[in-house]
Amino acid sequence: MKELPQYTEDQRDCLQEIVNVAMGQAGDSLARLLEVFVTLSVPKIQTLSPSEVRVALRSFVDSEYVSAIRQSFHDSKGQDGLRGEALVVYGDSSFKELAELLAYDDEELSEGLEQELLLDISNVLNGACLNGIAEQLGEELVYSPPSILGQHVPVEKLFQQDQMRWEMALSVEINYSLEQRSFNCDLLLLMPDTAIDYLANKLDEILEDD
Amino acid sequence: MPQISPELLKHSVESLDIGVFILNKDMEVQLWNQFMSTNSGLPSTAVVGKNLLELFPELPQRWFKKKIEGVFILKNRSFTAWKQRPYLFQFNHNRPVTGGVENMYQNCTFIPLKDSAGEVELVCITIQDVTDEGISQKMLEGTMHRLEESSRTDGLTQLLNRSYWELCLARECKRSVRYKSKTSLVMFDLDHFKAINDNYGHLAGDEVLREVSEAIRLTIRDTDIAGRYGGEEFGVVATDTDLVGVKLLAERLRKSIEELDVHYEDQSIPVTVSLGVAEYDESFSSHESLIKLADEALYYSKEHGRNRWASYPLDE
Amino acid sequence: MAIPLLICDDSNMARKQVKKSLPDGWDVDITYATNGVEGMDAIRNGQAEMMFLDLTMPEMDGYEVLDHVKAEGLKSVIIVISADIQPEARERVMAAGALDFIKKPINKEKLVGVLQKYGLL
Repeated sequence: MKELPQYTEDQRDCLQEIVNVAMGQAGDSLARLLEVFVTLSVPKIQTLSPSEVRVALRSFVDSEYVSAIRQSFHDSKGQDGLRGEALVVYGDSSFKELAELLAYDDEELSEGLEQELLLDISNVLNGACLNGIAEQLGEELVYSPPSILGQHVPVEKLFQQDQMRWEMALSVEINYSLEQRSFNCDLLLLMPDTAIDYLANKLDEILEDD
Repeated sequence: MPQISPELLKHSVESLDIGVFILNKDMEVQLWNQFMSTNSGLPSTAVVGKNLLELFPELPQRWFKKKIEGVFILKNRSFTAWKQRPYLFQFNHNRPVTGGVENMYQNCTFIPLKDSAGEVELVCITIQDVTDEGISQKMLEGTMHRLEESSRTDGLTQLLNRSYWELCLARECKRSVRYKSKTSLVMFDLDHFKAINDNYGHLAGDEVLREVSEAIRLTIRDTDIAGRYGGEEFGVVATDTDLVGVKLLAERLRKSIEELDVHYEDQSIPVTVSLGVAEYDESFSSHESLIKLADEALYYSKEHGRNRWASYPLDE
Repeated sequence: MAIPLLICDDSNMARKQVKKSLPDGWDVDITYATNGVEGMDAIRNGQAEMMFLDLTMPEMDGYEVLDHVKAEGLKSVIIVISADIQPEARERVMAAGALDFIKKPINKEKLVGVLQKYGLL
């Protein structure tokens, strides 16, 4: 795992600050939706090879079994622009609380309902965070509906390494936890090589502006 | 650039083959397209300006409010998918004959409509009929399920095949150690099966195997697990059963097979089995030890007259 | 005389953005700090009659800085500029003695607005 070798110190700092601000906006969205205080930590930005993604997941998910949701995003420029996949990984903590907070508790918390709950929260986190980043970059993003990567499975089972068709991806890791509750999740934004280059140019534009 | 008039645009939305409707912050319907009218039976004139939740009290009210509120607060799209929530509105689908499902499956998207100042005063909801996708998915799941079953069963006898049956046995043995319960085993073998094949032909032999298997199925209890262990050898795992119980089961099996009246091309074929039973003990290294002991009892039966059972330890 | 002003943020870009957002022609003497520990040193050295403070920083965060300033009875007008924009974050820093709270990303309009609100210009 490398600390963005292809970026200059200024670019790294700029990206970190943009992500910090976006994370804060996403945390605020989550807080307003759930009416609780969300504890934020400093987002970790690095580049990962496909084989390192699982190691990274292992390192930040403190749970043997996890549930994960994925969602694609892209801008209007398609292949060459800002695009990637957002993963939200949840440890197997209590979903009951979360169900309560999102008014899902009228019904029995079935597997289907739990899935919907995860999809909903993931969509909120991804949307808020990515919109925050895009806005600061002067972009607008489009999202696919979120889908389930795995539910109560070991981290290793989440995806096969050979499914990843990129050499190096930019990973932005953000942790959200709710104060005084057991809920905890990690947001991982993965952007392929082409998006890394595109982002570098964008960061330069911002830096020149200063 | 050709100009599209607002009328034409409205007409397009009206005639889309997905449901489109728009709500304001008070949940009042602002637009209700043709798809929604047709499927709900409520024309636009009966709906526009009215509160959606009052019009459709069967909607999950609290959840729906929170969902819409989320779109207003976060100014972000939100979704529902049929896999988790089969439908939002109870609409009929257009496959009453071939469907096999009760309601139209729906994927919904909640879209914040930003005004020129970037404020969101309206939410647009689209409803996509995905009944076909849902039905194919269900069929696929059914096929997968059958495939999985078929990889577990023996083609001729429709009992579990050896590898899957052994897996079940191993699981039961472990379970009995964990929960301090009893697991016992019956192993049995057709008597003089080679002679049946030689005298009546292999097809007759197959018929015997099929009928014996059917007799096994009818004799065992719901919690017993029967499998075809080899050519003419069978095994039944008796869960939560001690040696006394499994002896009774062995006798029932022996009797029901002896009473079979197997016919092949107008010939009646007498069939009997020899059986051996044993109970699992946690000192055993694995389930294989249990098979070995039941087998020993089975050979004892073979050597001592056939059409009978014996239990391990053999001196009983 | 120039006002001693401290900009305390771990991000170089964030510090530059604050500087860029300062009112034109404002007579200030700027000191920069990249974490709370450096920030505290500057305050104790009298380099922070006024201060723009980030919350999330390594070594010592903004909440701790506020606590130390209060505990040591130091005089500094502190305006928090934060990426954590939850209403509760605002309440917490206001209770800890901050003058006001500005949501990131910062711009001239927001910063000047706050300064005018308190008659600091």
